Amino acid sequence: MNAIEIKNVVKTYPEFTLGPIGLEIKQGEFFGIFGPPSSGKTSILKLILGLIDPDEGQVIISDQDAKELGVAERGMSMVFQNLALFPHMTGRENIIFPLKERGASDEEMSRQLDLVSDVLHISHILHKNPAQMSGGERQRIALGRAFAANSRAMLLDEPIAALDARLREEMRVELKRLQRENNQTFVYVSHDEEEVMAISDRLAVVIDGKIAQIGAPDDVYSRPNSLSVAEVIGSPPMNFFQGQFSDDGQFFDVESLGGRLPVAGNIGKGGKATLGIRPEDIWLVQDGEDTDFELSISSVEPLGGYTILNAHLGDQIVKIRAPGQVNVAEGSTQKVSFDQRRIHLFSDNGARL
Amino acid sequence: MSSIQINSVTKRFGDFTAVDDLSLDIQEGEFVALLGPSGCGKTTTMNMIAGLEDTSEGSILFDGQDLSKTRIQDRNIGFVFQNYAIFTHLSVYKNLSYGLEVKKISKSEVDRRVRAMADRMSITHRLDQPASSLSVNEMQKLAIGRSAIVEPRIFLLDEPLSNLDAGFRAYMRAELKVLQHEFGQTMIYVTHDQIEAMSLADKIAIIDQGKLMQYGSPLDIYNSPDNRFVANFIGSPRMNLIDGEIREETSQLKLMVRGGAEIPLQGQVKSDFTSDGRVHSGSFGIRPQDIYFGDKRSTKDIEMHGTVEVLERVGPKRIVHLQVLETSFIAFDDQDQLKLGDEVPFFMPPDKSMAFDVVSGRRLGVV
Repeated sequence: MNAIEIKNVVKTYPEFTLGPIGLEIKQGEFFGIFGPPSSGKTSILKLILGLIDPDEGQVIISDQDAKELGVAERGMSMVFQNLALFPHMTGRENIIFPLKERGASDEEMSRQLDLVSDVLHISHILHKNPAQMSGGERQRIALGRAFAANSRAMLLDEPIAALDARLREEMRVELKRLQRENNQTFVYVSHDEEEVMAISDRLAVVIDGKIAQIGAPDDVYSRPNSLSVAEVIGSPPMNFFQGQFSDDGQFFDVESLGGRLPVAGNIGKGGKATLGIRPEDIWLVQDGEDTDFELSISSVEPLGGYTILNAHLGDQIVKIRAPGQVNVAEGSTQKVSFDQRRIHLFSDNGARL
Repeated sequence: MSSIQINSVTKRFGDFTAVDDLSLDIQEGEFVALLGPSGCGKTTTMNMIAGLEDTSEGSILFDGQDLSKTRIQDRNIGFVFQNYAIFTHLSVYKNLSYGLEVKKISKSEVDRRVRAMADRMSITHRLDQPASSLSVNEMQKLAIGRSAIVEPRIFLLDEPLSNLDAGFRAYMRAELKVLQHEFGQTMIYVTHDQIEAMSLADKIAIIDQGKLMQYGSPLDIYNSPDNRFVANFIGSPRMNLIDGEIREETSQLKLMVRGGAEIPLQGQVKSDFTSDGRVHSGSFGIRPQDIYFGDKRSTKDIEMHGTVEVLERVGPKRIVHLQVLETSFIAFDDQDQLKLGDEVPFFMPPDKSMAFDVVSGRRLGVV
């Protein structure tokens, strides 16, 4: 069953149009919404929550047209980037507030409180007022309040963006665990690509108010359906090269690299296109092995588990991600090979070929 | 260009010790990152180098000279902050020439240096345009260029990339490193981002609660952390660090973890744990990329069994969270074939494992 469905929704603002948008979010799914800042992500959440109405199209919640449902009847919990805690209440009182309102038993309240404090590591701050907490602590209390309410679906808008890197890594695993244990539907908005990819069962990539692609993280990563999706998924980002198909369509010539790559399948003859390749799909090769190109390495970033090599090519920086710790001198020339199973070709209008 | 010597510097604010007996040697032309969590004292350290703060104890020498009585403006220090501090209403040219004009340098010399810098930054075609018309990318370069042009003796950068989005940050990291090589200036770079510090710096000083935890090249620190704090702070995803009691059972030394998980200790890591006979509680460390699946590669490798609890797609790989009773291990799904709920054996080479004392946090055994 779909927990949430959005059908051909359009919402027009003075300087921005959202849509038309179509989405189906399954019951119990962890659904990510990713996009650059102000691409329309938060508006999608507001449509689901009922804070804004669509100009066209329909929002359907558990098979019911949401037009007939008030905000409260939709049974959603929302955690905003800018959270709103009751300043005069302690952490504990904030968390059990929605349960109290609903007339839950003391037993249920303490069970839910224990569950969320455990997952969110907040037992030690439950007695504090929001004013005495750090930003990260307030954020976790806000998450706790939303979880404890045990609603039909959780809508999360950049819920952990304000936390430091280590805590974020930890929290994203905890959120996922919590979601699975409760078998709850989560809709998770973030502009942090790594976070959305790591946490979601499926995700929608939103660009300029439209959905550019929907799929499982693995699919979106390995088969971005357009140049604009390829540009925003992956860090460091995919490398792009302008080039042209040979007249017989067997090769793709890249002038800046001073060479050509064989092209499988008959996807273009003589036309211009953009070739994309992820940093980890460019391999360092030794003398005697198959070499596609030579690159001059301008800097090396040793990150321990892997190494980023940067090669300046005109105005462009080509990034190579090599596994492990490699010994390449800055300023040296390096032979490389492109993994041909993993090259991406995009037409002039940005569509995947 | 200068060398900097920080000798046993302490800084107190009332009862609070922000920097605690910190010593660092920075060589001429070196790129040093001061890295630590927020509030660790790294910015205070930088401010003392800049002369914005006095030291409570200890001294800071530039080329062997104490500058504590020298006015800040005469110390010849270049700054780049999080907020670029560019005159957006002035042209790119004026932004670059400003620092030189203040120093009363001849017009022809100013012009020569402005053009050389613009060329180095690939913004020559922008010289006559107002700075406000620049892209974020060019703005960042201009911010660095206008500080570099006066050829300061040292260059201090305080989280200069933290306002940028991830993709652009990766790009600027590469640019910054090339610029530093070209300028050859001594640079001190303050950041809380370990990836930034690893990728840019010749040396990293890791600071926690005002104390220097380790000082060395990025790979030295990554491969051989001196203590538990550094082991935990450097590397992404973080190192597995599992605390437990060291006990011998049926002639097998084990780390007994709360919740019931047991890590059999053998080979190198066993001798590390037993190198100091007095240690009874230890922390077992292994980086996620050093855990492997499939066939056991050496009889010495530590074998355990875990359940696949969470799989995360991070960049080119999937991170797997393995649950062993109440203990969780992070690894990479190196064969790309694990499924949720699978119960699988996994292996940890003892020579890639590390031993720490839980109480003091120091590394045991190999140094």
